[in-house]
Amino acid sequence: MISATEQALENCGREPIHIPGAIQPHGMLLALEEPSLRVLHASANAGEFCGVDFSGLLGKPLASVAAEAARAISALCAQGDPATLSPLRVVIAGKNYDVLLHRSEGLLFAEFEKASDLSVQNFHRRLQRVFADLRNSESPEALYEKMATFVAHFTGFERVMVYRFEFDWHGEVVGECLTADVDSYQGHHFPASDIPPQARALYSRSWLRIIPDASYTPVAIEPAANARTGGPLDLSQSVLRSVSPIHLEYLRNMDVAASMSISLMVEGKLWGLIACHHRMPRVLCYAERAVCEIFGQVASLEIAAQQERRRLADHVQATTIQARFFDIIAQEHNAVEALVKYTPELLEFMGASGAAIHVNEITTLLGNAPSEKDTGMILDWLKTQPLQPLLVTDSLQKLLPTAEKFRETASGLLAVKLSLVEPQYLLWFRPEVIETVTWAGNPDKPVDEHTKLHPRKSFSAWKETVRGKSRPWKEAERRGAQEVLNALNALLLRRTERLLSLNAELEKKNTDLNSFAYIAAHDLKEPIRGIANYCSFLREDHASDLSPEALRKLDTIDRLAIQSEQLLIALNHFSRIGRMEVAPVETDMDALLDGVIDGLEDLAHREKVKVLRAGKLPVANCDPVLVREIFSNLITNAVRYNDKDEKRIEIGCTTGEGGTVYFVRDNGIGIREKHFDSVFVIFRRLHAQSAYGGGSGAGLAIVKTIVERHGGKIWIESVENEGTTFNFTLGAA
Amino acid sequence: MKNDVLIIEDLDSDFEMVERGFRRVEKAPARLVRLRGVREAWRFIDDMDAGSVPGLIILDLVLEDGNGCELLEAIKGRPGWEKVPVIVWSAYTEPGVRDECLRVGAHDFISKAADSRVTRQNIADIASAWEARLLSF
Repeated sequence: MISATEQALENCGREPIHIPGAIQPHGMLLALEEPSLRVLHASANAGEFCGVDFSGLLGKPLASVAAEAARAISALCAQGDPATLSPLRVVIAGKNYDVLLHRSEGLLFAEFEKASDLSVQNFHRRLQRVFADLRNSESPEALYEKMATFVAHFTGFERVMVYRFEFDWHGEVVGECLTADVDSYQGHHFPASDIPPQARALYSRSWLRIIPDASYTPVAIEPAANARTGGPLDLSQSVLRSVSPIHLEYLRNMDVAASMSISLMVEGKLWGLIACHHRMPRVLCYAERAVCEIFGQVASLEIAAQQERRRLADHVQATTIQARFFDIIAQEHNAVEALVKYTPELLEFMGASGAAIHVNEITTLLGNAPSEKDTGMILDWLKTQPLQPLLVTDSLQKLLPTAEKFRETASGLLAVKLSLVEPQYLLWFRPEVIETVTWAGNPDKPVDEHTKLHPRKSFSAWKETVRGKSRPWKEAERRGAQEVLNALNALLLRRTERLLSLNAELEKKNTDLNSFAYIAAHDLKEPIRGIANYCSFLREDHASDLSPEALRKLDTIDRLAIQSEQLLIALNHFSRIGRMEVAPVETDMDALLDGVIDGLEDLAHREKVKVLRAGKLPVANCDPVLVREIFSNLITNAVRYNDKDEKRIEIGCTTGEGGTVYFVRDNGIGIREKHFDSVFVIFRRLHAQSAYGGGSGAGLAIVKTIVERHGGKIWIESVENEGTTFNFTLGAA
Repeated sequence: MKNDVLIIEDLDSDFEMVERGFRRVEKAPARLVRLRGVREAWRFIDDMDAGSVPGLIILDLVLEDGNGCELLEAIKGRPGWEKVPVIVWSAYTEPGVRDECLRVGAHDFISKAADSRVTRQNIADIASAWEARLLSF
């Protein structure tokens, strides 16, 4: 349902305000034919101004009623563009008039207003001073106030406001000067519909509009149809143009009789207005208006200068903060910690009130952010959005309706995806604009319910337009976010590079270690074998000379030598596995396992082991030689570390989301959880070597190496005295 | 001489192990010639008449002055020596080495072990094979 106010505003937006067909009554308008200056159109009050009967004016040359004025106008038009050369002082029927001329649609428009003795020259020194003063404003806010103050004192209007258009063309009163006891509108917001597009277009073309008396009765221009085009007369450039009745009603509701607005143009765009109100009718002569126009133009330049200064300062500040911020995160080990540590800066240079960091499935909230749950909801939604790599919105609820409930904190969202593959995000939040707006006007002052057009109504109307909206993200801020992303990536890249070089170093060390292990294993075998050989010679040659005690010790030396050799063989084998190329091929795992079990048949028979197969194994891409070793080692261990009378081993696999998980389960002695990692360390034994059949201590280390060389994982589930399950995957291959 | 056994081995205790093994067999070789390295081996081989090739060569692989496997290949390529049985006796466990030795003509590949019972058994096997003339040459 559309309210009456909205209807009125809607109508306002469609109103063709440049062709009202009428003027305000404080002057006279003639549209003349050149060069004859024949009167083709005249405002209905023209007869009165010229002291003749109106009917005697239309169609006649101007010279026939005002010969001197006609001569002066002809002379001026001959010199050049009459719009830039006027005003012209003329006398008609014994009275002085200032005439403003302009050409439009092939007609020469002449607007006559009562002349004043003032000229712009009278205000020369005053203008010089005020312009210098404007230049010295220490802030934009100070500048706006000075502008309002000057215009108020110069024109005598009671309320002068500096009205700035915002990004969405809604307006805000950013400076004000009141010289009487009238309502203040400082900080007041007006919806864009209050000054509709066609009005803004008009304001961009002319520097000043004035309504001396809002209760005036419009004076029609006759005939209504353009004598040249047949269409309505275009009064865009007319100073006397009659204004919209809606606007007049608005003014009257505000208790405003006289109104004037001066355009402020910055960078070729309508930046705002100096809007002047007076409760009594008020006429400004041409010279005064000219001063206001000049003032508006100079003020516009000052606004531009101030804006540029602020932009520079902002930029310098943002750059400084960013540079410091990037320095910090570059030094930090953990980027998230760095971001948290630098929260104020992270929020400040992005002009955000809150932020969230989502890295490695952990969300960290900073500043004024939605709850963890709500942020989680935003993140879930973001994961479905194509970010490239930013997502920027000043109205999140438009994209994500459920975001309505936390619009106070997060109407605006700027999201950066930190990683191409991982769901890692950095989010900045901005509150709903409405939350940040206060109006200095008296909100308790009663407003007549029937008064549909009123600033208070405007304020409510504007509030509706910004519900669920935040201040928009500026280009500079998007760039800022992009730079943060770049900095984090650079950091990550540096870290990756460091990691790569560390890896290379590690690899080299591993290779060295492997070669060492290999050389050591081989070269050490020789002296150890030597020791064993001499023990054997000693026994052969001197057994009778030796005491039983000495012979036992000889046996011990022999045994230790053999044990040393076994360790060396295991080390050698382990190092070889580490150096071996993994050569994956399509492998029938079931057949492979058959082979392994067959190979261990003796062992199984000896130990009375029951080997169960839990279903068939699939075909897998792996190195069969190495994988055979995995099963062989795990099965051997399952048999070896088992003290049950009936030893059982179950082998099979499960297939889930993470791929195939193979398992080898036994009913053996089990492994305590605290040893889950250490069992995989080479030569780390949990039991005396003599216990449980004396393995070399390299088996599980070899298994783990093979699993990892395949890109897989291995893990243990175990209950002491009940059994152990070794689970492993063979990676994505 | 067909009654000779060459043992190319740099480690004294390993040689002694072989020596002791052959002492136990009834028909001992006429000579058990110990050669310590590749150069010594070549000097000896070069001095031999083509008709007096040995009956058996026991060869270690990792020698102080060279590679036993290459020596094996060279011996096997020498006219008149093609059929001399060579048994490689090494602590070398790298897979592939065994296959390589067999490929270039080794009669057998036996791993050295610290366990003297194993070693004795291995050498007893070699010696008794020799004794029984089971080695074909």
